[in-house]
Amino acid sequence: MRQGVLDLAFGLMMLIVGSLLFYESFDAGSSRLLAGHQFPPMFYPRILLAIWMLLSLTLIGRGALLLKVDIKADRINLVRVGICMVLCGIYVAWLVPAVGFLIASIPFAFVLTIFLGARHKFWVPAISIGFPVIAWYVFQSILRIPLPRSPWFLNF
Amino acid sequence: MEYVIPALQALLTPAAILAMIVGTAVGIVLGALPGIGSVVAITMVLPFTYTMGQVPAVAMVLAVYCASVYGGSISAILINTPGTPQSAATTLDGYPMVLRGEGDYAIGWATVSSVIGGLFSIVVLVLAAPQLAAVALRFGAVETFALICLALTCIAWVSRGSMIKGLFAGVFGLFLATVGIDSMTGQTRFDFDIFALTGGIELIPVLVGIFALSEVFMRASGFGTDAETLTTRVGFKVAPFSEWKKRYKTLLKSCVIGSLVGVLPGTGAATASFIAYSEAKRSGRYRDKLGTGEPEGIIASESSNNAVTGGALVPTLALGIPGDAVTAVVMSTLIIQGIQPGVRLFVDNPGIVYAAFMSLVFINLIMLAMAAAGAPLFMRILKMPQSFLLTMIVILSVLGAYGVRGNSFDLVVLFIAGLVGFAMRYSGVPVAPVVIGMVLGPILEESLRQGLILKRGSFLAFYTGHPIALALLIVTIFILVVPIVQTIKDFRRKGLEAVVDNN
Repeated sequence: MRQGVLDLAFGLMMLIVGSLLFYESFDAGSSRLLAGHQFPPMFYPRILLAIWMLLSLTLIGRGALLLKVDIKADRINLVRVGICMVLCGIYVAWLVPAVGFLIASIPFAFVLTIFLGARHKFWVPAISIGFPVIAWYVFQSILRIPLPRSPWFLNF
Repeated sequence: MEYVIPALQALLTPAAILAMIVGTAVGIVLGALPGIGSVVAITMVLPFTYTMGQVPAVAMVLAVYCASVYGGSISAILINTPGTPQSAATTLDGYPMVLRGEGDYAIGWATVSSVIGGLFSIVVLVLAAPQLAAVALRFGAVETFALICLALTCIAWVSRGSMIKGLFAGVFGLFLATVGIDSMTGQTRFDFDIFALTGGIELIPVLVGIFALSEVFMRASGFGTDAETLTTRVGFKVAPFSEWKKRYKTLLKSCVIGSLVGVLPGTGAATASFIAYSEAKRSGRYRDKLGTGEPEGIIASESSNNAVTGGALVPTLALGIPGDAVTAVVMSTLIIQGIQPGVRLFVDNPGIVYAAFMSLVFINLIMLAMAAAGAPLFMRILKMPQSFLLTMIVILSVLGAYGVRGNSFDLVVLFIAGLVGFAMRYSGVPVAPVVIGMVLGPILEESLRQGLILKRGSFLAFYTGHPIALALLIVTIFILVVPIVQTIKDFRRKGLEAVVDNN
């Protein structure tokens, strides 16, 4: 992808997000917050969002200028990073809260290490089981920091 | 002196000593692994500090900070790939020394220079921070607002990529800090009727996601995977004193450069090491040999980048304004521990401050001992496959994000921050200003609103009667305007190439 397209896309996306947030600051609920205050809660965020939109516009302008120059953005392996994001998303945002840290981490560690290219018959299972268990033990028993628990077992 | 003995007693407990030793070892290892860097290294140990006492927690984070800066030199020397950007200049002379079969000495030069740089910067920190804090005690809301504006502008200016993107990242961070309950009125903002958002967006999950998780995505996408592998066995040898004597001027100059650069917001250790290296190339005794495996190059790079550590803590501790992402993370750790860095820190918590000062001395000495005794072990860790490392980073990220307040919503924030961090880094937007914006956001808003109330709502009257604030504002405007004017001039002269050059 060309750098100009990337800048243009990023600037446009940020302009849309900034505009929506700016609009949100004027919605019915937020408007009630204006009453009775010299500098209401939305006063400062609106200044920030105005600067946000201005900078987004500048980025768009800059992207449009860069379109005329052939500079390529760094190449990435989209499929690989996409799968990695899905795996991490399932693990972080769903599996850990749903089944607990320990039960979620062992299969995740196994799948991710394999996905990232590890093939060693001893080290892959050893790290996949050993690291989450040690981390869980250190946090739960030594540091006494509670971790997400499984709904099926009492201790982990 | 009244604070020194109690601070020393607090520091010489088994917990604090263990924290310093473990922190130093972890810092060296993570700093040595290419691409991990000081910020990710500190975020990795953050969850371990949550239940520690104040002194051990601060000591551990500072140990990881200092040791990771040094650790970067190991891979820079041995595999020609700097573990951290601040060690990039070390490769220029370190790797040629390895190729000549002098790897042991190269590690020795780097280690001793790092320790001397680190110790020098502690002296600067001890002398400068209390003075700066004493001056800053006179700062009111208007001065604080002007100072934060200047700091954020500097950080955006010197961030990698374009200044517009740096400024955008800073504003994004400031905005994230506004989500949740407004501290002045008690009203919620931008919660979108999601209950978990009423408490605001927690800094640590964002920080861990934007640095650590996005690093995993970057590596998975193919970025930064071209590091060479270690094939030689290297130990640790220190050159005789006579060799050091010949190069002491460069050592001293580089220590001064590192400490001064560290104090400036946004500059960081990478800038310091290149400035010091350039200075050694200009005025060093062996300037003609620099780049061919001359120890003077290693001295310049390593002493200056480690001298930044103490210098960077000056504005962080004295003003509560972190100069870069690393000190922003250090500052977050202090806040989690109930310590608010800033002008009142030296008045309210002198014990912690002196314990932090002394811990830095111990950490540098531990670093020297560890490098001498454990060099071969650290070299072996450099061979760890990336797949294992990245998996460990994801698991530790979960622990870091969840451990702060035990809230599953923070895991969602962590994942979203990881995605946003990846998108920003791929688009060339620096992520450090986001974190610094989040840290400084609440103070900036409070000082702006208080200042406006004092001035009866007049923006024009904001700076009248406040000469310090006015001076800071002028410098901020200057920093903002100069690059714009320069780009317009270049655009007229060179056309689009100017925009490309300023990318």
